[in-house]
Amino acid sequence: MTRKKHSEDWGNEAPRLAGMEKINLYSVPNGYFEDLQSAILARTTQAPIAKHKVIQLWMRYAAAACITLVAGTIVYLNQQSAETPNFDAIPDQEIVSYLQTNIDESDTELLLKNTEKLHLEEKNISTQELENYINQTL
Amino acid sequence: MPLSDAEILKQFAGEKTRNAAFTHLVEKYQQKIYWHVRRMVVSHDDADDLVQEIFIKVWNNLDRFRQDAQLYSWMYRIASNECLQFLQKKKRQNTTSFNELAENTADNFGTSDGFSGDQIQQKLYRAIETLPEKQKLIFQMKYFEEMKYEEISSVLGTSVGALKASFHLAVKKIEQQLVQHD
Repeated sequence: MTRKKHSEDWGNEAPRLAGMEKINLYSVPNGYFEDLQSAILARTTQAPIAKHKVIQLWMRYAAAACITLVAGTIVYLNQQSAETPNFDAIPDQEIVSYLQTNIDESDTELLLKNTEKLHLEEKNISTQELENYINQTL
Repeated sequence: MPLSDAEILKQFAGEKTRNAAFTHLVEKYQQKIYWHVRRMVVSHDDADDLVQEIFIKVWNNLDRFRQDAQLYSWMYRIASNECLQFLQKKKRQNTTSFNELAENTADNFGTSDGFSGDQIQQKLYRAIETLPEKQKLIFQMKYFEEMKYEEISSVLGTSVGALKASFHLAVKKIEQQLVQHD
């Protein structure tokens, strides 16, 4: 088939393309379309029908209860761990002993970096004084 | 004699005639869909896989097909989307640029099994492979499948004006390459 019939609107812009015959360069193996049809039908009309599992109502309620229980437990545990410990109830000596055995130099640096948060100026304690205290004590 | 689309849909709605209707549909459209896909993805094996997936989608969704669109437009839309998704995926998976990939694909014309044709035809196919995917799709539908702009518009959901612009641009690019390769 020549292109003239279909190239009225663009033939002038592309005379080389418009003058070409339309040829399909691709080929398929012999009997391919019979095989293709069989393959499609085997996966559609001849495929075994998938049975939908019937989920009993009580199973749905049980699942919902389990989810609620698990979610509730997670929320409760998070709240417990997020609560601020009551330091007032711990004897001072116990805190000192803990710090002496568990704090090293890197912790000291960290503490010093955060001293601004303690509002030391309001308590008339300079950073240097605090650093000396920590170095001597820990 | 092939059944009309309306008859296929009517039979598909009946439980007892459903399978026969789908068999008619496959017989009627498999070649058109195959060539539509093959021109896009080039490789026969890729086209074979995609066509099977397309018909499985048609089978799974045909009872939800709304008859305000034409059946072939709806199937072409599924096929076109599958092709574009496939080409996008292929582009993502390849470390080489898509232009290089297209050129490699184009270089296979005339050297691999499943391709034939004289030099000028091979030049045309090489030039088509260098177009962006969507533009290539529009060109294939207009040039090879001789679809009207309105039909392509109903398949791709693109305005007729935009389709015309894209097709003319594709034609110019291809003509340029045909002349350059002389």
